[in-house]
Amino acid sequence: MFGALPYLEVRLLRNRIRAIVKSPLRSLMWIGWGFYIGFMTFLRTRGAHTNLQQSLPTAALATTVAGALLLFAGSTVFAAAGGSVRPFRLRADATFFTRAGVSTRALVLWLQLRAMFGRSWYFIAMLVFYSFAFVPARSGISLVVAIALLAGLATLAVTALQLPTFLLAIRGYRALVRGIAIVLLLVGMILALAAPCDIATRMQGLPALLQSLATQYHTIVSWAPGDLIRSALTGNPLLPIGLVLVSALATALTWMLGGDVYPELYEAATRVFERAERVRRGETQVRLTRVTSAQRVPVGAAVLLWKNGLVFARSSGRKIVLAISAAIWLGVSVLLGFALRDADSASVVVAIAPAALLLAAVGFTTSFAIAEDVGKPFWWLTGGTLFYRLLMWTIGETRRSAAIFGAGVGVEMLVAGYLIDSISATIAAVSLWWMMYAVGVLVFILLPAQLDRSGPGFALRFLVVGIVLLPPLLVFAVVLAATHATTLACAATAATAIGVGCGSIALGAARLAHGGGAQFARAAAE
Amino acid sequence: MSLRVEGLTKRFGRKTAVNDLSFAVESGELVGFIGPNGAGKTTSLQCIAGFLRPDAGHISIDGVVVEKERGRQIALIAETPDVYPLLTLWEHLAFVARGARLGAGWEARADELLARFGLADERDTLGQAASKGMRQKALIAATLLARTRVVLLDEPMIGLDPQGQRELRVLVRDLCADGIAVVMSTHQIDAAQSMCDRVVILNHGTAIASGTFDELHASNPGGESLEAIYFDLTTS
Repeated sequence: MFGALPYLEVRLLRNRIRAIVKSPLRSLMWIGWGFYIGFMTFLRTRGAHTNLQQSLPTAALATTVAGALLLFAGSTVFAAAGGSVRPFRLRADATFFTRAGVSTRALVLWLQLRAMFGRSWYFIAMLVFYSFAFVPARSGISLVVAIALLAGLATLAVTALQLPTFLLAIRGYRALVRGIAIVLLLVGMILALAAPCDIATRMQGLPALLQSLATQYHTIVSWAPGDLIRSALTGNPLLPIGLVLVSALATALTWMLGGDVYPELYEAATRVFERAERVRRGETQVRLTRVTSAQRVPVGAAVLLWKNGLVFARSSGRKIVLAISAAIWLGVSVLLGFALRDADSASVVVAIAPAALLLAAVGFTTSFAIAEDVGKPFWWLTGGTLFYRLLMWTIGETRRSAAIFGAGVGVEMLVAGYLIDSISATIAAVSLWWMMYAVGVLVFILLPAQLDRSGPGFALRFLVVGIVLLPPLLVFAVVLAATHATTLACAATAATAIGVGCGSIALGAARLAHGGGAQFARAAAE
Repeated sequence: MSLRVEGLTKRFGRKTAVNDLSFAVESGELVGFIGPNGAGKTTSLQCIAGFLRPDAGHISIDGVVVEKERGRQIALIAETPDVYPLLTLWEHLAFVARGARLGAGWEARADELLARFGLADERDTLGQAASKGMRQKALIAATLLARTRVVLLDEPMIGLDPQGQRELRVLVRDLCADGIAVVMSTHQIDAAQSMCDRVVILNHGTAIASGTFDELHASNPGGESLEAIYFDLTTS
């Protein structure tokens, strides 16, 4: 039925495994990863207990998770209605699949199944890994696996919606598809507010009107979807069956609508490939602006900061993403500040910074824009030492996000009532943010190949970027214990972060100097 | 066998990329598409290959209009020949052979084709390690293996060294010798003049002239070469 397509998938997988096996370092990483998962599974199995109720998320949190899922589904359907789908993984797919010897309908069904199972299994694997690595042992393996399977089924269902809604849109039902997407987004937003409202009801110092609204809202939305998720985690099959049904219906719809649509699939895929290329090069939604006066161009490595600023100024997409992130982050900071008004200043810092930094580590682990810059003559023609150039590059890439992160921590401290400590906490937060990015860049320079961007390569990068948080946090704890002064502890943390960041950049520069840009660019493309 | 394109029109929003294009290519014939950037060469080839849906027009082979699933009959080799990074050159041929449901013995023919194109030693080279020339040759070999009847080459000379360009000229001539109808877009007017049986000159999506060099010369007596005729037509 699928012609030569299964052969293609099997060969690609086999050659990928061969490429891993051929490299001793990669083999070692995969073996280590396998042992780690096996060992953690063993530990979890021994530590498992049957009283799942203790570890289940609260109804409000589960409702927020349901809201997030609907937001994910709504944005996927909305994007599909606008033609933003990527049915093909590679450009070669788009040209070679016409030679697979199958009808367009069968090909579209293959693309649907490949997308569904490829993404959901990858998601399950990632979730199991991170759950094993970070979820407390008392959670037990059964809950971890239940969460992973449920998340996998949810990903399966959302992924399954993409292609049929795209096909519906190109067949003249665009308005209907957009309408469905907007309903999903609205319901998702309403449900997603359940957990913040739950927190707000327990806050001290919140205006009475807001607290009353939060209480009412919490009562309205916190029961149905949340309980459905909670019951699914304890073995109720209703939600899993519902998600499987959605996937099956979407796949059936794909089959029905999948005849003679190759040109539309090709056009959509080409658009997405080209957009991804532009994003990778930092050219998102470029608009024409006035040319900056040459007199303002700095000299030496600082020109990298100037170039970064120009790219940002001409990318409206980046500004929107940054503005939305800043609004969400500052909102969370204000809420936390209110919630922690009675806590001591050190607890206020610890409540917000480490979790956010750990979350950011995921982003820093997948940040590969340096390969693009190092591969260009502009980089090597720039003045200053390689260390100084890398330093400027990391500052350029992180200055805006670090400022937002630092502002969030500072605002939280201010709302909680700590004016002086907020300044030192902001400086420490900015330093930590930059340090983690610098470490992320070092790890990428050490492991640049595309083959290492998933699986244990990704896990290793994430662990290194995450673990490097420990020294500054230890310094914070030690100085705080010795002096009981949050300002001093934050200052010591900032100094440690700057030291670790500079050390990472020095190592990265030494490594880059060893091979040069061309060698690095080749390794990154492997 | 002949490929016939009639009244092909493709619009992107308000912009008409290809406007009422008509031409025909016979079996074993090489037709060149020449024209400035944005003339509609690539868009035309993508429409013929079935990658873009034309707004108007028909594409027929031997008088039969081809609608969908034309990959068995028409192959497009893009300016940047897309191959799978983690598939060997041999596996690309195997994929095409399986897709075309070739009978027993295709392996020997695939080996023969790889040897003919100087790729025998590169049989197990991964796509990511292959040069542009190697990738082009592998795709042409796959086309011959599957006995595709029409081959569309989009700017095949770009990025090839002189040796690669010479080899490509021989390969294209081999395709024609095997009875395949070939359409090649190029910016190299001298190559078009020396290689192509006929040329179509495109400008702003419209075919402004077509025919053999002698026919074009007859209608543009001032042009001593195809290059002179091209500039005369596209800059006037």
